[in-house]
Amino acid sequence: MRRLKRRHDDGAFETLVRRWDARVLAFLTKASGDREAAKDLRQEVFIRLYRYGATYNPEYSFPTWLFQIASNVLSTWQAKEARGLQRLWKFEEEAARIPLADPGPGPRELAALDELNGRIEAAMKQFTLKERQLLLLRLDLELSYPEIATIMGAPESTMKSRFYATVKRLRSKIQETEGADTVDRRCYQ
Amino acid sequence: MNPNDDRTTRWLACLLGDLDPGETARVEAEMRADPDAAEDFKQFFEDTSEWAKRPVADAPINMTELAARTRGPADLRIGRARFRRAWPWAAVAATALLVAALSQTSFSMQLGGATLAWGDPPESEAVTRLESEISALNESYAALAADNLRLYSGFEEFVFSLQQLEFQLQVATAELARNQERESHTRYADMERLLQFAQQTRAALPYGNDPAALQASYNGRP
Repeated sequence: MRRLKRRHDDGAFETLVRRWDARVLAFLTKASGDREAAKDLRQEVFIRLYRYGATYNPEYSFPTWLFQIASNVLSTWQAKEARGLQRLWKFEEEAARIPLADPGPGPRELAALDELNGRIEAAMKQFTLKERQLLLLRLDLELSYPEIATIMGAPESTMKSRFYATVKRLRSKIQETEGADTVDRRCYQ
Repeated sequence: MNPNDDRTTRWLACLLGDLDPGETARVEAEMRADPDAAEDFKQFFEDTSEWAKRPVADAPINMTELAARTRGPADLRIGRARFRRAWPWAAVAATALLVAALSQTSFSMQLGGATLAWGDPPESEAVTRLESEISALNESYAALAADNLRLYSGFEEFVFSLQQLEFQLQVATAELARNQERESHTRYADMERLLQFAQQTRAALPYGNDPAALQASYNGRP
């Protein structure tokens, strides 16, 4: 990162990309819930990394800075998606076809999903983008609360309490789907 | 498990290592007191962590495409930033050059192929004469160069014909050597035949091939 910051070193940039590519893609895919969009967003993250490499502050860890970029890219993407959706809603006949809220997969669909991973993924779709990011930053990247607070631009204590609340809600959602699945299976037996 | 239960928060904090050692020991004791619930929660935590850490399978990023997209606007911005930093100095340098130029009684400079000049220096006639002499010299030099080129072409032709002659000489020498060899073979064969003929002729004579008799036949002659 120091080589990239000092001389715009292409070799250093490539090393960074190779090292972080998979983790950035996994983060973006799980946070956005959209695999195809995540591939484009991953490019955008690394383009920003290259362009703004000179603004990197070594006081922060590199992952903090990198995932701050990723978080900003996700926010921009979400805003664009929302604007696109609003434009679509102007057409009434189109609006009728667009689901207003993600109902999530039903019990039968859930049974077909890859058991627990499927349940977690389905439950995660009901969370906001910020909440999904928060979970991934703590559980996947194992960043500290001060680092997460820097990335998300919120106080550390808020991040900590929001993280606990999100995990508890996730637990509750998964238990709900487990219950529903059990009932559904009993009906079809 | 009740989501509003504070126990969940404590257990989660314990599993994440967010608690100090004293607090951790207390929460661990609490978990041991309800092993089924603790095991259930640990399983949920492990499953969620595993989901979060699970990689997403995809080909590595296309570096060529990425490199192409990292060029362009960013480089332009860098260029603009450099221009913004450099233009005051460039303006100072240009002003200094202008002041220096105006302070001269006469001035002349080449600017984009055009001559920018003012003033009429006293030595302008001499300079014109010198320029015409230089021009004449240039013409002489050009003529000399053309002559040299012609001479060089002639020399090249001469060298080429010399090389051809040398080749022809080599061919002729080889042919001569072959002819000489053929001639010596023929002479040798002729000599052999002559010797055989002589021996046969002598055998037909009265004294035969006896050398002493032959000598004796000569001795008797005058």
